[in-house]
Amino acid sequence: MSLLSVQDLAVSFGPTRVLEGVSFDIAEGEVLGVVGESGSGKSMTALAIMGLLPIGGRAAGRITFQDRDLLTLPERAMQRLRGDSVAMIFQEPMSSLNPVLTIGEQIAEVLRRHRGMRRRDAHAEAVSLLKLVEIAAAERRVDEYPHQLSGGMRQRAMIAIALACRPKLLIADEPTTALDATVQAGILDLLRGLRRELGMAVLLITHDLGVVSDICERVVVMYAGRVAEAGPAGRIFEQPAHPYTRALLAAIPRLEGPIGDLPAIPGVVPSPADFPKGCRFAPRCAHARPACEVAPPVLRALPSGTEAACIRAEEVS
Amino acid sequence: MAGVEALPAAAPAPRVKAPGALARLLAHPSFRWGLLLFGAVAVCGLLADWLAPYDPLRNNFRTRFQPPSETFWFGTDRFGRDILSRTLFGIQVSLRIGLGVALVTALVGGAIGAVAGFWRRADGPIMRVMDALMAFPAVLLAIALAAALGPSELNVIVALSIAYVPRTARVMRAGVLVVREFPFVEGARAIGASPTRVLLRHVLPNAMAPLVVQQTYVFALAVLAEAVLSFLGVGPPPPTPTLGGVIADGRDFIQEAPWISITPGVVIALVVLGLNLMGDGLRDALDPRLRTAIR
Repeated sequence: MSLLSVQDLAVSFGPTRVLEGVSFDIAEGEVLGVVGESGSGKSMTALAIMGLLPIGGRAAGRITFQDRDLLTLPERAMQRLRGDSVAMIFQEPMSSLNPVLTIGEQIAEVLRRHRGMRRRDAHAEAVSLLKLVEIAAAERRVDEYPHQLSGGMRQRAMIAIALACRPKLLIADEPTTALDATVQAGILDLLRGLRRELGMAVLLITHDLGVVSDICERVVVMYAGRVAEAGPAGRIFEQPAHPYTRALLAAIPRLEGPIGDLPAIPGVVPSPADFPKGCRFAPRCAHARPACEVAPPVLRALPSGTEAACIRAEEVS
Repeated sequence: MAGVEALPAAAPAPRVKAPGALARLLAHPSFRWGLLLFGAVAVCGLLADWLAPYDPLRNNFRTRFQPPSETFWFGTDRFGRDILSRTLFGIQVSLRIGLGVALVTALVGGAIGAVAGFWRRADGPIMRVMDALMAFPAVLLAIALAAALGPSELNVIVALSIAYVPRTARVMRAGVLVVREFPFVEGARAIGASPTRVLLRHVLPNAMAPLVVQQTYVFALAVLAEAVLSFLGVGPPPPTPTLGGVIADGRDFIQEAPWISITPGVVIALVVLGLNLMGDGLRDALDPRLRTAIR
């Protein structure tokens, strides 16, 4: 029984479909990584789940969370859900906190909204949440404003806000991208520890495969608004079936071995207006055949243990 | 990060307190000058009951058209009323009207602009109405309204507020349009805050600064416009002393008794200059990024 089930999700802005046929499940307490380049539709997927698509965006398909279809849920009910059983943290810790409110006030806002806590209780809970996310001198920091905190501390404060109501699902949209490498490691450690401690599921959106291999149990690789490959993290890293996944993994610099040119994927992700008719990766794929350009390949299970949307997956891997 | 934070905090770094907005304001030369000018005039007006040497309303035919002298520092008008006393009480009326207009337009225009900027569907209709209002010259509109409503202090405030609301609404709308796109607004939605709450708690406080600055200019504009209305006879009815009214009293005798109009005219100039200087200082203090660009 999965906590969140996304089935055949499509998102369009007017006539342009930026996302289609996206399906995946997250079990309770599971960490699912969603990987892809910029423009692959990772963030749109997250916003569609939260019901926070930008103006003009329309979602179709089905997003089931705890037996409720979030896409048909009225806005009021979605508001009760957001920040309570589903929470989200964003990429930009620098600008994702309100500059005119103290950290404590922003954490308290969630608690008062969803738990009906009194101001004083919420403040006390805010302090313990800051301790939970390992912010030193939490009693002092709670009354400080965002500009008084470092980037890493702000991201921790964001996590504290997200965790305030002990969500069942945490959506983390590139939580470490804007941070220094050392700070990144700290935040990832924290997320890993917290999800074990609180038993929440995490949907981790990233373009960093290192982050994925670090903490994810399962991985969904997205390309140009579709799922290219999905499966257990270990299988995907050991035996990637989709040429795109293989190319991504090949593009990771290695510490050992001779120094050579880093393999890169030629070209860029096409914009939604001119997605190819067949396989969307075909124009950049080294293994493309004329058949690839006829129809979009369907996601199918492979003997290697992953699912891939590639008609030549067996031959390639 | 974790390692750095875990270090024993043996010597806590001295926490330097950044100067607050108020300290920055008072350090700003043009704000200080503006406050001095405006403050001096305002205090004179507030203390008019004690400072005024004569009753501003009492006629005395024996002292008509007295030039400035030791008895009447700034002369008298055609009814023998003391210009200094009338000007001091006129300051009271003018500042009441200016403050009233600044507050009313801030509330009404701020609310209109916030709604228009935040709810896209309301934007078109609301701003077209504002544009239509703005198509009239503000003073002309105020004259028409004041004439229609009848001469009284309250009606002057109402008329001028209607005339200046579109400006305030525009400034507020522009601020809201910028702030609503900030990531923390999306963050507020992501914790389940309702749209009204997002607007009131997260967007408005961050979009206020331009409005605060704008209102000092509206205050100054309203003082000027009140003088215009009084001058044209649609201001607070005589014999109420208003700055514009005293200038109007001297209009027909500007050759023979120029002191009648000069005194209140200079006071209006001081008030408007002071308010504008304060507005400049306020703008620099609230948006430090602009400061170097302006100097």
